[in-house]
Parts: sequence; structure tokens; C-alpha cells
Amino acid sequence: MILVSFFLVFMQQGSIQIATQFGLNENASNIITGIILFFLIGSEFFINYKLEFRKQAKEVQG
Amino acid sequence: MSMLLIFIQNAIGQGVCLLFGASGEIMTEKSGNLNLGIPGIMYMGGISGLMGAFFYEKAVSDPIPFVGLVISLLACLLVSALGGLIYSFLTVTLRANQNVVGLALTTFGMGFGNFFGGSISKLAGGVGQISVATTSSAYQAKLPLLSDIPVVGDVLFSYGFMTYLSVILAIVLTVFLKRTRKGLNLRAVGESPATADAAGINVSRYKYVATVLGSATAGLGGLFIVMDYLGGTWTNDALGDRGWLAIALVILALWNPARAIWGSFLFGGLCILYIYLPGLTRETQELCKVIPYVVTIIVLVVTSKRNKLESQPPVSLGEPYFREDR
Repeated sequence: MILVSFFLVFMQQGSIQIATQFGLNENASNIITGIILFFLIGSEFFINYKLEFRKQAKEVQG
Repeated sequence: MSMLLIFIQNAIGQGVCLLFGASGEIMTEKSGNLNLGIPGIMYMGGISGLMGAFFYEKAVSDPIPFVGLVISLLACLLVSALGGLIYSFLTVTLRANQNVVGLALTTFGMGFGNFFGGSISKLAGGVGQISVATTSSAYQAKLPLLSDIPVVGDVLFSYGFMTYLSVILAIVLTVFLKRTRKGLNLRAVGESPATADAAGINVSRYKYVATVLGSATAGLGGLFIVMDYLGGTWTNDALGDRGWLAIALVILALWNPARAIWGSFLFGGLCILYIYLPGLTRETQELCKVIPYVVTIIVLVVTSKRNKLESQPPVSLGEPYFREDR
């Protein structure tokens, strides 16, 4: 938890640095945070569920 | 008298954004998706509309207002629908927690809006403050003859077309939910997806379509603020907390778009009441800003006491549906 919060603040400070250097807006870190969160949440699916690919079963002629 | 007129006009101007957001959110919630990403989606819609108009006006030497309007409208709808698509992919297909996805979408959307809003002039080659006066004039165009009527014209006909669009959209949504087969199916999906599934309704498709269309509607609220209310400029955190207010409005309107119409104008009025009340100190001003939320709490208490079936939230609101999870 401490590590993650440190990482987020690190990113915010970095984006403020970018903002002052290139004259951009300092909210770039929010975009990246959002994207990271999207991927984290999305990958939770693969923790909860297991994908099994089924082959199309051929009908047995008989 | 003229003070009251200005107050009503401003209240309606504040309310339109909330009405768009609330209509979109009601549509989404009726499908059982609690989209807390509405504030972010409003930012995304607003800034993408502004960017569309900005690049159009920059590329053409003599921009036509109507073309800029169409471009910004399309850009806004497209990007906010994309926001809804992210949300519904994560919650419907990947069955993630809806609250967390919504909050992530809000973070993302606010960052998206503020970053591009603050940087677009720099990225486009340093033209200073972005302003799309031509396009925004098309948004602010009033009805020609009717707005000249003294009092009635000021109150009813002195707004840009998006004000009327929001009201029409809310009415259409009410009719759709109450009177059509598709609306009935949508409500069934929100109330009990398993039953709807058993009845042969494609639950995932309904959830996807409702969420994406609802987000596109909410994005129009952001576009309204940027283009009409602010006159085609961007200020940082331009939309404030209007997205959250829109979600509160859904509760106030008891999941009925027709009630959201007057609810939004009431909310808009309550939000700016502190400017117009005479003799307020700084402290009492802040107290006045609390009023809309207090009203929401009172409505919540009253409706939970009355316990009417029609005014309850959709039963499966906030819960993912997985057919094999039984």
C-alpha cells in the first residue's frame, strides 16, 4: 500500500515537472493513473475466472 | 423582477448540464449498471467537442458555424461513447466491480479533459487561449422571433438549442422506458437479469447499448458547459462537480427522466442561490451551497419511508450478471 501510494505521488510530481518544462498541463498523471487502474481492474477477471477454449465438437455419424 | 429573470435564466443554464448527465445515468442505471464515471465522461465529451471545433476552425480560414457545430457534436458523442464502451467492457464482459471502474473512469476522464484542455494550445503551436467563438456562436444562437417577447421570451426562449434538446431527450427517454417493448426489456434487465435472460433477452447487449448511449448523452452535458455556458473556451476544472450532482439528481428524480427535468432546474437554482440571496456573509454562503445535497438526503429519507415500488432503484443495480454464476 505504501509502495503504491508512493508510486502514485511520484508520478504526480513527475507530471508537474513535465508540465513546467514543456508548458503542458499537470494532469497527465491522472490519465496514466486511470489507464493503469483500467488494466488492473481488467486483469482481475483472469484471477476470478479461468478461460477454457472448447473445440467445436463434431457430430458423430451413426 | 429583472433579478428574478436573471436568476431563472441562470438556474436553467446550470440545470441543462445536470439534465443531460441525469438522463444518461438513468438510462445506464435502468440496465443495472451504476456508472460513477459520469463526471469523467462529461469532461471527455466537453474537451473532445472543443478540440473538434478548435481544429476545424484552425484548418479552415473562413469557418462556417454550422459545420463546426456538427463536428464538435460528433466528436463529443464519439469520445463519450468510447468512455462508456470502456466502462461496459470492464463491467459487463470482464465483470469487474462497477464502483471501482466508475471511479477509475472519473480519474481518467478528468485527467483527459484537463490535460488536453490545458495543453491543446501548446500542442497546436502556441496560439494562447483557445477560443472557438464561431462554433460557440452557433451553440448560443437563440430562437429568432420568440426570444424578443419581453418576459416570456426571456424565460422560455432565450437559450441555445441544447437546452431544448436536453428537455426533449428526457421526454423521449421517459416514453421509451415506459411505453415501448425495448424499454420494458431494458427495465427487466435492470431488475432481474436472470429472469430477463430466461425470457430470451440478450442481457449483455442491452447493458452495452444502454451504457454506451447513456454515456454519450452525459457527454453532451459537458459539451453544453464548454460551448454554451463558457462560450467556447476551456478553464481548468471547468465542469466542477456537476457530474456528481447529476448522479445525485438521479436519486432525486427517483429514476424517472421526466422528473429529472424539473429536478435539474431546481438543482441548478439551488446551486446558484447563494449568489442571489442578499446579505450573506462568506460563512452563510458556504452553508447555502449545501442545500442541493440536503434536499437529496431528504428525498432519500422520504422515499425510503414511503417504500413505493415505482420509486426504488433497479434491484440488480451495481451487480454484475454472469449466466453460469448461479
